[in-house]
Amino acid sequence: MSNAQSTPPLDGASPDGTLSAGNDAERRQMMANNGRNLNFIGNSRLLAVLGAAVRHAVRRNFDDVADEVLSEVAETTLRGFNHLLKNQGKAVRGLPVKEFVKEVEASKNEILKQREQARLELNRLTRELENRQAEMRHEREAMVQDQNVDGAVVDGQLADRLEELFDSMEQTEELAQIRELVMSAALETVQQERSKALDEKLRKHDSEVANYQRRISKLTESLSRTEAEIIRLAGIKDIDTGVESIYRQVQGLSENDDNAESKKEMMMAIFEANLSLQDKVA
Amino acid sequence: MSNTKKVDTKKEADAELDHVVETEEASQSAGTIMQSNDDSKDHGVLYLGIDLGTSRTSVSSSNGVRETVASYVGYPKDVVSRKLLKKDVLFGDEAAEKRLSLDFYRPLADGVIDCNEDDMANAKGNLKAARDLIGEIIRRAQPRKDELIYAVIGVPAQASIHSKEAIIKAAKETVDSVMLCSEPFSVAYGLDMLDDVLVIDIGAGTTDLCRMHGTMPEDSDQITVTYAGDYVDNQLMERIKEAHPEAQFSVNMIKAIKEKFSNVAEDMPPVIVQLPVKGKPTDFDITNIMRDACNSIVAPLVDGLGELVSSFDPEFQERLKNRVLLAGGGSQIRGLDIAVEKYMQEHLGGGKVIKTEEAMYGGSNGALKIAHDMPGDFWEQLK
Repeated sequence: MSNAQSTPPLDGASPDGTLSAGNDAERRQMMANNGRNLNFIGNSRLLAVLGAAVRHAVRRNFDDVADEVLSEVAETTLRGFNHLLKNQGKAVRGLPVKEFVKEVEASKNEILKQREQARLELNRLTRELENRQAEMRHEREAMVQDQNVDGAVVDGQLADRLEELFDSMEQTEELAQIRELVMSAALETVQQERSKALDEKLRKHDSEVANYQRRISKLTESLSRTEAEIIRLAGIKDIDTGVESIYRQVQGLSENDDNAESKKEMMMAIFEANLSLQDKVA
Repeated sequence: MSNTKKVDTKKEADAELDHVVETEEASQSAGTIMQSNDDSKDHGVLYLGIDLGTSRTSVSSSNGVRETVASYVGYPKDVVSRKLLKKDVLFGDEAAEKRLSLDFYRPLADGVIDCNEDDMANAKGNLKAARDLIGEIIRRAQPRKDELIYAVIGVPAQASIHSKEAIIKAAKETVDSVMLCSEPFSVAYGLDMLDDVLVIDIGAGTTDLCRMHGTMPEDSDQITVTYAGDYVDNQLMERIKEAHPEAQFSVNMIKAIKEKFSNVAEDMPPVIVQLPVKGKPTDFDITNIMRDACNSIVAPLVDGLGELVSSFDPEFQERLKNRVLLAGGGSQIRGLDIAVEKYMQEHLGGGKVIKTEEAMYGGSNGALKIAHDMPGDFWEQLK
């Protein structure tokens, strides 16, 4: 059983540590009694105060310090202080809650706008891709078909021309062999070149499609990042910081309480009654 | 000055300073981390003391916030009213004000959550309203999301087990650990009046009478009666109706009049109120009616006290009678303490009545104190 010492109530708060949220005067009083003050001091004033403190400290701790030594010590300290301030300081930006929420709201609106634009762009690209893909499918089919038809015509014409050439020559057994070889080689070469040309065309189409797909995937990624950012901002905006409890740890009954023993028994009785009740609920 | 090292150039001096700072940071780094962990705000504890009352629900919390809300909950009747009200649920006076557009609930109407299984729809509505009301009062205590919330809820002394279960279920949705305790006990605990005290906690729906004798009060130490705020309202309505049948009024108008003028003193100032008669505001003197209506609870309450006194150890009866604590919203009736004392003198041979200074927050302050004093491992076991 933990029986940590109870923390005394705040000055100005009622003995139970409470204060009406609606009572501004009481709250202000409590702030005055318990709040921490923030003192502002200008740079030149700060250095002047520090110089005076250094002089005072040196005079107090060392006997017979010459004025020039004192000045040098003060000057060295101030220079060092200035240097450390610049090197060690961190720039921070403070905003009142209202301003902060306003900024978050503005960022959220900006991101919402970006999301809308990204969505529109994505829709446009997706539509374009679908159209282009359909077009390309047709083009591809047409190309293959054209090649088949045109190829057959060209092949026929080439074969006829070669036939004519070989027919005009003196027909020997050797020529017949050459004729067969030339015909086959010529037709094969033409078909290969035609196929290369078709492949090149198709590769260009594929590359175009791949480009569209890359753009779409980038846009989708950007859209999901935007969504995540919106969720994060929504979370920030909804943060209700609440009011901090005066207790950091569980308290428990103070051993110094006048009725500590009987109160312990009462706490035990309340606990047991609740344990049995919650068992029933479970 | 002999141990002062002279540095010749500005550059060297700066370098030396940086080195000194780095060394110090390195030597203190472990300590800094420890301190940083210690400062992290992940183990704050917020205690809540809640008085779940028929008329008002109040919270006192260990962050200094104290809030109260009328125990009314309303849900827009239809899409049109939801659009108009721009809210899914309304609480307190706002709900009462717009009750015509709402499914209106007073979830603790008789001091307990009405869970009558004969009327399932109403029982469900009441349970939901009670749950939402508890959530709302906790929200109003402005808890931080990174703190543990431990709540003690004061409920009428003889609240049914069903009601208690419903309250626990409702609270568990919002807090880390919750306990219930009897309302009059929490009032007495808050004032450190634990020994030989008779508590009269006058609420709207019920009045709890509780005998405190240094230990946890048992069932035999507590009496719950319905002679409370609503009873006075009804008395007032009936008496006005009888004396001035031409006057027009509603129960809410009567409640407001009572809250403003309630008094039982013989020499109370005249109570002149305006009530409509055929649409025309008309003045009525209801001084005697007000006194009689408010006085109507004195006799039954003292009778209840008599029961608790007479069943107590005769040796300590006198002490008990001389420490009667008047608490709750009903204790704000002016002169009630004196009227009870007078009636006790006549019927119990004497008595002394003390009135709590804070009628509105007496129960929640006490519940907060109980929450504070409850050992940590008890809270843990009830999570």
